[in-house]
Amino acid sequence: MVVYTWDFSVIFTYKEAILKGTLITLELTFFSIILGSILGMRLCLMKLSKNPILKYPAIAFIEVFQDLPLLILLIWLFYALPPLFGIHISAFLTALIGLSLNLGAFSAEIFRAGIISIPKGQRESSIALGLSKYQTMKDIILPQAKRVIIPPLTGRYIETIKLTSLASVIAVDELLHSGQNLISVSYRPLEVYTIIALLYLAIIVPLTLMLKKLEKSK
Amino acid sequence: MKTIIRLEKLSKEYSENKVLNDIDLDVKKGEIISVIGPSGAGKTTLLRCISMLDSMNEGNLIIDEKNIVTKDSEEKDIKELRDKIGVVFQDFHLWPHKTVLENVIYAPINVKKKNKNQAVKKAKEILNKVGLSNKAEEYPESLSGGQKQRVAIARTLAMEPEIVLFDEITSALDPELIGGILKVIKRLAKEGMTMLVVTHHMRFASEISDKVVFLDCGRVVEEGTPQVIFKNPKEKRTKEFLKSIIEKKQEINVYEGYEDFQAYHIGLLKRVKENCVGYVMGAVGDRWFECMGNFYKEYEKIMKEKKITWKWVSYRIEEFEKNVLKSLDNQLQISLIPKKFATPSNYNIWEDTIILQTFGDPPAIIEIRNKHLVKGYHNYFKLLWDIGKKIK
Repeated sequence: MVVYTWDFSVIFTYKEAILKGTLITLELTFFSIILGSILGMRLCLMKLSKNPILKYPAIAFIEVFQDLPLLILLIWLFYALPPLFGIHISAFLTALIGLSLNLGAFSAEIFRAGIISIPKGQRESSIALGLSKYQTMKDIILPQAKRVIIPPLTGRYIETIKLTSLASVIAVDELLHSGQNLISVSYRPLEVYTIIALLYLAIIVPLTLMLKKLEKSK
Repeated sequence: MKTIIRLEKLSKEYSENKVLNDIDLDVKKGEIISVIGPSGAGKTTLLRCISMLDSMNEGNLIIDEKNIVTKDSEEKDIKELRDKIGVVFQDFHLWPHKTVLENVIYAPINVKKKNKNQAVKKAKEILNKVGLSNKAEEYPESLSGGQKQRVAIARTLAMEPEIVLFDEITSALDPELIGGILKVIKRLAKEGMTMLVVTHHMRFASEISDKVVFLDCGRVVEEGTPQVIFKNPKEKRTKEFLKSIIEKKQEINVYEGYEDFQAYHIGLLKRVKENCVGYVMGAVGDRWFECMGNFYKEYEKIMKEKKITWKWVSYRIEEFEKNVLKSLDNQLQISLIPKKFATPSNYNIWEDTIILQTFGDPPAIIEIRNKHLVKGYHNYFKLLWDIGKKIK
């Protein structure tokens, strides 16, 4: 058996690069979650609308971005935006758009499931008392739907953290990509990938535990 | 007297099915009108059209003599009219994430833009009126059905509507809880509140109403004072309906002989819902199995298919019965009670039905359908069940 000699010194030498990668991963996650959730809520309300002009585009949108592999979407956006639409944006923004579209499509369905789980009578009694549609949604339906929405939504957010690693293929300097850069100068893939894996776990495990606690406390 | 609601030739269809057909109705200020009729007559649809939760297909709804609502009315115009009309639903539809007080003050604050102190003061007055001033800080789930319904009434009254529509508000409640609700409505009647009440409590309708409207198949068949409608109806259909209501209260049937005995038991299993629990009490002996004869196999099959269970309280079990019980596997639980509680004969409770059985030759069944009795017997059974030593 070959005995592998671990050498983690490379990590310490380039700790700033790794730290920066971690920060970019977190930033990308944070903004994707915010944009994706806003988009998801919009899409959900559109899909629930009776107006076909709103409803059918939303259905198509959700279907497409749920079914399209994120990796393909990212690569496509990266290569298609500049020549087709004349949009020149950073790789980070491209990744942010791709991740938000993906999360938007998935979270739309989560929001919708939560909203339709609330009995029709809740909406009707609100309307009968003269509440506007907005008041009904904000103060009556959503507070109740929260219990149904939060567990799967948090799960989806955690999934989004994992998906940020795909941004490495379009050269976003997030955790995985900065690791790969590091490997090309240090030739120490095993150490670097080990540390990267551990860092992903360090971000995700506490969140998962929190989620489990949240579900139990319900 | 001002006319608060006027319906002119109101019609409503659901997928080409005429649910309401040319309804004309006037509700004047301070009037109390009861709408009665068999299920499917369109009573609830009528209420939903008046409260503008559903739109009509034809005709006009005139509110306060000047606001005309038609099928083409726009949502934003309707919205302004909604707070004139209060609705209390059969299933309460309270908001479970808000306390009783929050349920009552939400609409006055957010729709009528009242300030909070005023709204709270008013809400407390109303809760006091419906007898729930001590429940203001509780959440709906901790209340009984009757209390929930009274909160729902309070929530509607807090918007100070010109008319309140009640949609069979007692039918989701146990009989002993209904009294409180009816009392609240009577009190409102005394205060001069205009009300349209859909109900199947005939006595209540006759006590409070100024006018009774009998609806059948989407049409107003007859309307008049309670004296006329209940004592002296002109239409044949009204007479038939009132007669059927009186008869429905209780049904007693007797089935005699082996064939009827067997057919009755099979039919009963077919009639009850899935996962039904039948309560069997008293001495059975092996005569029951004998009387069922070959039909026992079919009986067992239906039980398994519909996942029906027995709970059986007895004070003795024969060896033969033990064997049969074993073959029944999961479908049966049994509790042995001390002999001093022994019941003199055998009776069963299946949903709304009480069955008394005699095992003479031929055997007989007396069937009683009466909700109130069933409830009492359920309580008695539970007591025996708890006293007994459960075996499986």
